[in-house]
Amino acid sequence: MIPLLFVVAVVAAIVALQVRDLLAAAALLSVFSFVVALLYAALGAVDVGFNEAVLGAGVTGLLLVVALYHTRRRSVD
Amino acid sequence: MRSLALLAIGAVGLVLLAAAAGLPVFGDPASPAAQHVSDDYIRGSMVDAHTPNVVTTMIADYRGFDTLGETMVVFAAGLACMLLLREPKRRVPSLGGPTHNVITDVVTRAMIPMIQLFALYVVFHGHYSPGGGFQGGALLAASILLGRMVLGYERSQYLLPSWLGTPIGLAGIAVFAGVGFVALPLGGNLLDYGFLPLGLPRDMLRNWGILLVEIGVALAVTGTLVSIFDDLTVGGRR
Repeated sequence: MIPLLFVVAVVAAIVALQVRDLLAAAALLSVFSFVVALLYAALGAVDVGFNEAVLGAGVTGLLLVVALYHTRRRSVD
Repeated sequence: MRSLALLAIGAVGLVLLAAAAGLPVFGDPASPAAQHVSDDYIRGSMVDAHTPNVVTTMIADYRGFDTLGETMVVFAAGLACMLLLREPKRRVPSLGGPTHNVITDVVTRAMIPMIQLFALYVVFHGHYSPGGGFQGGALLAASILLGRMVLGYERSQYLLPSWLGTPIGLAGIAVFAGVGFVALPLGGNLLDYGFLPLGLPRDMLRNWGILLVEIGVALAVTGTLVSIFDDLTVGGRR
């Protein structure tokens, strides 16, 4: 279970770096945070996982979407 | 240049992997981190503060000063966003805008009170289950931000008016610091909740002190996150 979560987290992080659509990148970062939250929970740090799920996967994703709203949706590099 | 960067990343990764082999075994009671004060905290949580969730006792009681500082850092981040981004005269169309969708509206309106109820449970049940002020406050903020995103700026003001974000954050810090300072004139140390004038045994006083402090943290986190979001989207327009 834990190795699988690690693999999903790394894949999500790499795809978030590669993808051109920044909205998709923000969503993938939320996925990454959620998987990391599950990892924390699996390792017994339930409180930290809770924080990561709410702040990392929820609020941070929202703030990234808002930041995108002020700029363009496509990455140029 | 790109191959050089990849090489550097690979080298650092190898060093980190090699170093990870020297870490103590997961959950090892003889590891250095478990040698000093952790034992006292784990044994003392129930005796000192009548709180089964050791993490909560740790965050709000044993290391309350640390948490007070952290809460102030969160609020300072909100203040920085306010100073940089708040322009009451700027008129950026609010997220959500005039194109309302009945389905998302109804689903959001149904979800917001449930998220808020769960957030209150997380704050008030932090002594016994995972969670506490930070998580509960973030959940409360998330429910309000969900309204801001889906219902739009104007129609989500009933959840929390924009002008109230920063004052609520400040009130949260005032609650936390106020509970902490009560002990000083009564002869105790800063943040020693055992001196709260509630007429209870000392462990129950610390239990109540933890709850009051968690409420302060939740207020600070909720107010700050909402004020940051409003500063980002509409420049704090009222």
